[in-house]
Amino acid sequence: MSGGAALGRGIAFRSLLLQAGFGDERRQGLGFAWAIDPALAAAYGGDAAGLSAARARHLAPFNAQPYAAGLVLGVTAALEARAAAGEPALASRAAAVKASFGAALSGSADALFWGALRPLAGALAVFTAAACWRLGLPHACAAGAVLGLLAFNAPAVAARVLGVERGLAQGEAAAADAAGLPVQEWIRGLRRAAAALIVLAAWTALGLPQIPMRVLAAAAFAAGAAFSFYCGGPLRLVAAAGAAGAVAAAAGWTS
Amino acid sequence: MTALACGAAGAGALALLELDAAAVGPFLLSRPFVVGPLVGWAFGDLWAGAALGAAFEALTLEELPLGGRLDLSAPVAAGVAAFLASPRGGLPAEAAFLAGLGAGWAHARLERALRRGRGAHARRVEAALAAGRPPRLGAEIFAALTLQAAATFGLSLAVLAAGGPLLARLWPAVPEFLRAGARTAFLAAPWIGGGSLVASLWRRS
Repeated sequence: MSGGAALGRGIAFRSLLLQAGFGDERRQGLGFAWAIDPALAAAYGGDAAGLSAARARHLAPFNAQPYAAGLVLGVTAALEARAAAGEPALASRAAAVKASFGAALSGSADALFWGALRPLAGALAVFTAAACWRLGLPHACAAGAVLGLLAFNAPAVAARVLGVERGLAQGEAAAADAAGLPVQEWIRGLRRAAAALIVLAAWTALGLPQIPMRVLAAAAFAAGAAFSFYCGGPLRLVAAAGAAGAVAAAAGWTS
Repeated sequence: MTALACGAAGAGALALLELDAAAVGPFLLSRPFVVGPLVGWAFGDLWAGAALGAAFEALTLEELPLGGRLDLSAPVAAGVAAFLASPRGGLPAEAAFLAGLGAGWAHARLERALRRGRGAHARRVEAALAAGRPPRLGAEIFAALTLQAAATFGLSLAVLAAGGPLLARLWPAVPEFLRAGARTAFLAAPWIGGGSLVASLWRRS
């Protein structure tokens, strides 16, 4: 049991380098092979040929959301352990499950971690820094950064570690459990919370004495909300704002 | 510290922080809301770094790294801009903002080139396995990490130690109306980015 826990921690730790070898040809294939290697070594033990074949199998192209990859690693390691223990058909099943789970879990995980939790963490960081600054509290930026990092990393690290542990312990059943989680509700709630926090952060920052031209800042915020989608992103609007500023200066409309 | 040593220190810090975005974790340590204030604080202007960090955070937070998509390297953009706006860089914040955008764009292209070449690591492991040799997976991962950090260091050093001083000399010669345009773009960026993000989050929720 403790050996299984140590193996799970080892895989979770190595999964931090999942993206280290990210390339066009195999995506996270090299990182996946590195992360699962202790499980393969433990499963195949003295079977050098079996170990070599398993290592080669897991160098195949693989791509998954990094925080969902923990579960894929755990399930794949559990299947490989059974394959090594006398169910060789599960070796090809491991390769198939790895590809299908990776793709299936990543859709929700991308929306949850990148599309909802990351904006929430960024908004929380900016809001905290602006609020601390406005209240005259010390270390405003550090407080914002720490809070933002905690808000993101606590669930992200938990998903990675728990994913490996559950996958190792329950095999494919763990993926079915994960599919039953109310992820879409979490995503919706987190996105709304992030949107509200950004409005609050902007409102708080507008009250800072260092912010010049508050009316124009508020107008820029409203323009971003109204037109960014139709302009193909905020950078184009920023460029348009720059061009408008240059024209205004050339025409002598600004001091 | 000489300008070159300062640039090297800044580029080294960026090379380490950028690994969080590309290779290790990620823990969001490479996001502009961390990189901007950190680089600004380290090189003497926390608030310029924080303002530039907030601007790049708002502009890039909506961009999802799906399937490895990469249009602008946010950590390099924020870090370069925060350094150049500090007393060590000596640039006005709006010029530093533009230099950061350029550096982030260039780094994203460099990263794409690195990704095209990384298949060689896996092929070396496969060749070792086929020959019955130890696969040295850890060494290959370490080599990929080292190359990534070295590439970020090289590009950042070039911008901080050469591009920055060059821009500092040229900037006063730029016509005033263009500098005013750059100022407007920099001041509007965090607000436009924030508003855009709110609309996008609300629409998708």
